[in-house]
Amino acid sequence: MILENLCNEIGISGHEEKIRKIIYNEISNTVNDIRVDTLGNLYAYKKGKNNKHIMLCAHMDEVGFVVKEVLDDGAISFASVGGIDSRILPSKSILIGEQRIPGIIGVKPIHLQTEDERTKVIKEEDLFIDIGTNSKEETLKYVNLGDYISFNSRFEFLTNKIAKSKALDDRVGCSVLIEILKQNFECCIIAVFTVQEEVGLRGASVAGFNLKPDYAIIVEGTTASDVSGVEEYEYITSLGKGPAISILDGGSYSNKELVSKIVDSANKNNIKFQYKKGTTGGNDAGKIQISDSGIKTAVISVPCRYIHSPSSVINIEDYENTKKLVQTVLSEIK
Amino acid sequence: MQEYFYKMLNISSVSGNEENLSQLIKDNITQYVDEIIHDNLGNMICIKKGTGKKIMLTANMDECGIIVTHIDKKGYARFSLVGHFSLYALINQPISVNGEIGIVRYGEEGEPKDLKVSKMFIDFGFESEQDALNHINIGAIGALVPHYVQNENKIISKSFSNKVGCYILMQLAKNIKDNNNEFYFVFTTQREIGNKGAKVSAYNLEPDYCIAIDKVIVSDKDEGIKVKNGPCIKLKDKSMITHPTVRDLLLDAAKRANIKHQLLVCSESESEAGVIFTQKTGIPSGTVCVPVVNHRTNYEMYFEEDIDKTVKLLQGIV
Repeated sequence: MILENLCNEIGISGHEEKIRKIIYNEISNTVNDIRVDTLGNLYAYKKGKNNKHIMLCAHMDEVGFVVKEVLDDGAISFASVGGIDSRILPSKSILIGEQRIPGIIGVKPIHLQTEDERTKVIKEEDLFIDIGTNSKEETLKYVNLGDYISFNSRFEFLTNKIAKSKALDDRVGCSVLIEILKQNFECCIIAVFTVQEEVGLRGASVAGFNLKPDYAIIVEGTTASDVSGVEEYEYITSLGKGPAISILDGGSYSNKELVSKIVDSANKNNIKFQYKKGTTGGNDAGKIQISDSGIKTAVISVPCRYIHSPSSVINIEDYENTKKLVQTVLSEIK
Repeated sequence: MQEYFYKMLNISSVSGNEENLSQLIKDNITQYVDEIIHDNLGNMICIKKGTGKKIMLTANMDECGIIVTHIDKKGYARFSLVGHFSLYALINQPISVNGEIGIVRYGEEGEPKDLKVSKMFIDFGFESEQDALNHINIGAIGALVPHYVQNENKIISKSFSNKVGCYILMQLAKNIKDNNNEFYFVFTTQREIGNKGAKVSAYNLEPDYCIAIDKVIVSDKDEGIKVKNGPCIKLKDKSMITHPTVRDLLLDAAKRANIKHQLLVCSESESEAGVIFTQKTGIPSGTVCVPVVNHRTNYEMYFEEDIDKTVKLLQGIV
């Protein structure tokens, strides 16, 4: 499964090369034109039979960390790349740099913590990475300042429907786009795989210019908050209820005519869907909507529980339905 | 005020849903302009053709509102804000969603404090979740119920910044007789959720300079901005420092026509000019503001003389 390969590869924001390579190899034979821009965004153009141009967009990068400093005792001080809840970090297994040097995020043992330290969230600067070395010199044999750090977590199924992995946001989107590009549609497709979404939609800030698509559909992984202890009215999305369609989020207001095409298509083809309920957070649509002289955007997302963690969880049926929904929408654009 | 101004007050135009207002403006401006363009974001660009300088004037059509995010078992609608409404200004106010009117309630006993939108809901009087879903859907947009009061030259209405700005642009389209310069009267969208319309229209039109028409909230301090003291020429805000070309253009116009005006330097507010001036290779921009009392509430107050003087000031730039 291509989704599994994409999730198991590492592509922290600014280091998307390996993801780009997988995508390139998967699609280069099925598209008419393929190129990479200065920032690293990958563009694939697939000609159709009519003159409508639909931009599809997914980001290649994932959240992670970067090596900030190697301390005298060999421990590594790090900074996060993208939004990560520091409460989830202690004792997590990680991989550093190209060589995938394994390490563990360490913290001062509980019996040495003050009462204040025990009751407060441990901040990133009070955590360190332990790769089993005892001195700065020894650590520097394996690790350099600026090396990227990824969660060490592989794609696996918890049940036959529920899958767990790091980086599901947004390898689900990349995977949907790859599968779409292997099919033929009446409309022309401009697929854009962007870089550095997690650190401020940076790839997308340039990706929307000069393409002049009729519509842009952003395929994302988004927060599912349907977990124990949360009131139902605070569920942003729920697992198993199908792709989430955004009306408004912190970055963009979806084009109404495009949203109604998507909703009609879902209803006509009996594809289960939900509306994304929260209006906070953002994605590449925030930049694409206001690129050039304005682009009509919409966002379709696969709900992910525990997003931005080593163990994001999706329902594979939501993934399949997201793919199906994008397919039917594209096939109905005349 | 022209009759259509009051019609504008009776239309809701929450960000992203400006179509009805845009249509009303179109009906009343068509005869004064040469061409009207609607772009991908719903901006309406009304062009008065000329061969001289390209002058862009903007006013946003949108207002703040709410979006329904959930219907609970009792049929109450939970919501998020569209734009930056004050929660204190929303509580106990009537809201219209898909033509259904409900009241914003607060879900805790006692006097509300530390208001959170997650504790607020709209009570439409529906009897159940299903009853509610028969009338309103998740994602439906809601706005304060339109109303207005005119008391001599004082106008009180629900959140109508910046319909006042739109009205001023319409007067300018009618009154400006300059046949040399080219004018773009741009009625923008999605200002309240990040100046989106202004950004793309400026990128698209690439004018020689731009003036945004906006509001300024009156101050209760002695030295602050006052109502009935004429338009404010903004010199600086959080998002920009007014370009000297545009600043002088406005100051000269005020002087020539002898229009009472105020100068505004502030470190908080922002305006459409703040995103417009960095488009393409840079667009000299500035902002003229009309004083408003009680901004972004169900009872904003404007004075006709401030509106009239703003029109006169801007007419004087050509």
